[in-house]
Amino acid sequence: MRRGKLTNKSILYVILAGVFTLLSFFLDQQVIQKEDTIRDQSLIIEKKFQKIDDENSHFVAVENLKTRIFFSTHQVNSFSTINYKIYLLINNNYELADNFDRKAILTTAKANLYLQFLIARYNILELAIAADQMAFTKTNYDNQLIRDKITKLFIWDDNFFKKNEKEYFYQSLIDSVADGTEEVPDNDIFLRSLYVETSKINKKLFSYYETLDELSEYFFEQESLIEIDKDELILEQANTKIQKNYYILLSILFQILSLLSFLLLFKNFINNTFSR
Amino acid sequence: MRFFKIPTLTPFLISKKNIRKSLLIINIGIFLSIFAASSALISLYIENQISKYETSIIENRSLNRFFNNLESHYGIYEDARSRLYLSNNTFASYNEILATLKKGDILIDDREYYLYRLFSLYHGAKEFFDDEDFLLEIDEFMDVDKSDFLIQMYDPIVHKKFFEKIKVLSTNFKLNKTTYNYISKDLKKIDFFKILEDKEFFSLSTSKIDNYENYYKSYYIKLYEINDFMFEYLSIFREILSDWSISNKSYNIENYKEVERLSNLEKQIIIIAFILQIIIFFVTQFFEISFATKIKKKIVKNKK
Repeated sequence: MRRGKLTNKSILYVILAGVFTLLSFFLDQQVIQKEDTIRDQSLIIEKKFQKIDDENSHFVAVENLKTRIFFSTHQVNSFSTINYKIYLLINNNYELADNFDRKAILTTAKANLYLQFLIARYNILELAIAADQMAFTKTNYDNQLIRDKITKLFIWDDNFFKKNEKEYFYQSLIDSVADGTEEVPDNDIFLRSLYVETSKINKKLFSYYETLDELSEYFFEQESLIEIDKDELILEQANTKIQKNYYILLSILFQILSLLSFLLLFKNFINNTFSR
Repeated sequence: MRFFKIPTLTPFLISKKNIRKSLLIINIGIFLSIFAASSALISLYIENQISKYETSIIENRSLNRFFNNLESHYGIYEDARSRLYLSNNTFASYNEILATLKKGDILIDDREYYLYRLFSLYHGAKEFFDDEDFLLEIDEFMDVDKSDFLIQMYDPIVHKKFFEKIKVLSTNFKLNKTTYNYISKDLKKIDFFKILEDKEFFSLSTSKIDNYENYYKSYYIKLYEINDFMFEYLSIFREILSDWSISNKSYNIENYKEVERLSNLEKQIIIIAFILQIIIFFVTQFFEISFATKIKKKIVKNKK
């Protein structure tokens, strides 16, 4: 043979170079696959982060609604009751009446009773609008129970207002009572109804406090569950990244070893030629 | 460019005239590849060390998020609490003025004076004491005798007073929980939104309405104390968490520093390895060249 025979050493170097090159190719493929896995994991983690932020903002939004309900029911309930009580005691000439200008205190008590009803109604309306604008009411939930609770939030029977709108709740009368230029009509049944309806609205509104409490618990639990999932995924991804780094470094190492085998093969080849 | 084509390169490298140069080039190549391989191995080892710290950093990031969330939740609680106290004070002040009027006790009786504030305080306490999971977690967390976490966080000798304070609070927590459960049984039966009949407003004391005459005041005081205690208890809980958050941040900084240190160490080891290998290379080159020259001279002598 014109090029001479390959020695055992040369064959070993050729085999080594081949094996190292193959290993390097294999590890390169592993790196590509790991990169794909990392990309998929990043997407899932990103979605989880988004979901956690959503659940957290839902939780905060619901907690704020709860506080608003709490304060409005607490105040309106007490103001409505005390004003109705004042009206009754003064109107029935109880000794307490001696402390006041009878006409003035009756006008004030009636106006307050009237306005407290409107405030209670306004509170529930405003909360319904606020909730409707919040993300948690616009989200699709797999849980049917939660979906039902949200769709039924702040729904109440507004019949009393609608029935008396033309007679007692027209805008000009509301404005005049609010600025003290007009008196609420002297109608015991209507005044009693104002107290009763305000209490009813408050009771209804407070029932939503309990619903929101359940919702906030649900959002908090969801957030915690997703947080656990996310933490596991992050650790999994960290491990994949570490594996990828190992594969890259090992691939480089095998490429170098393959090159080294070629160099040794070449050196061996030259030495053989030179010694001949 | 023809030089780089194998048919031209091969005779150049293996010609007798260039054999020494060729060997030198190959030896440099071998040296560089051994250096690269050793650098890769060093990187592999150091990367393995770094990855442990990186995992800790990633784990801590979640913990930091937890602290931030807790801080914001605590803010909501504090805000609601201060608003509640402000509103209750205003409310009580007006009622007290009305009560001083002639026959004012008809208008402001115990029910009127306490019920609405009792209602708000009851719900303030209910938020904590009706949440069984939360109670269980916080109870375990604050148990000085059982909580390994507290012992890890604080030195029992240096923070002796702090530990005693937590112990007292934990005992009081249990007492307050019992009181709350007792009060709650009664208060659950009260309809805070009950619509009273007109005649009921004329009775001297509407307190009888809910069948809890004289209870309003005592329950109100107890609930006020429970809420106050909860605030103190949660403040301590918050203090511990904030200490934990700080120690966690410093732990994270340590991890970052360690990663930086290992990365610098990697560079230094690679440089040292390079220097060592270049010395070895020169030494082996010296022996190889002198050995080759000797053999060459021997061959020339033999030929003569």
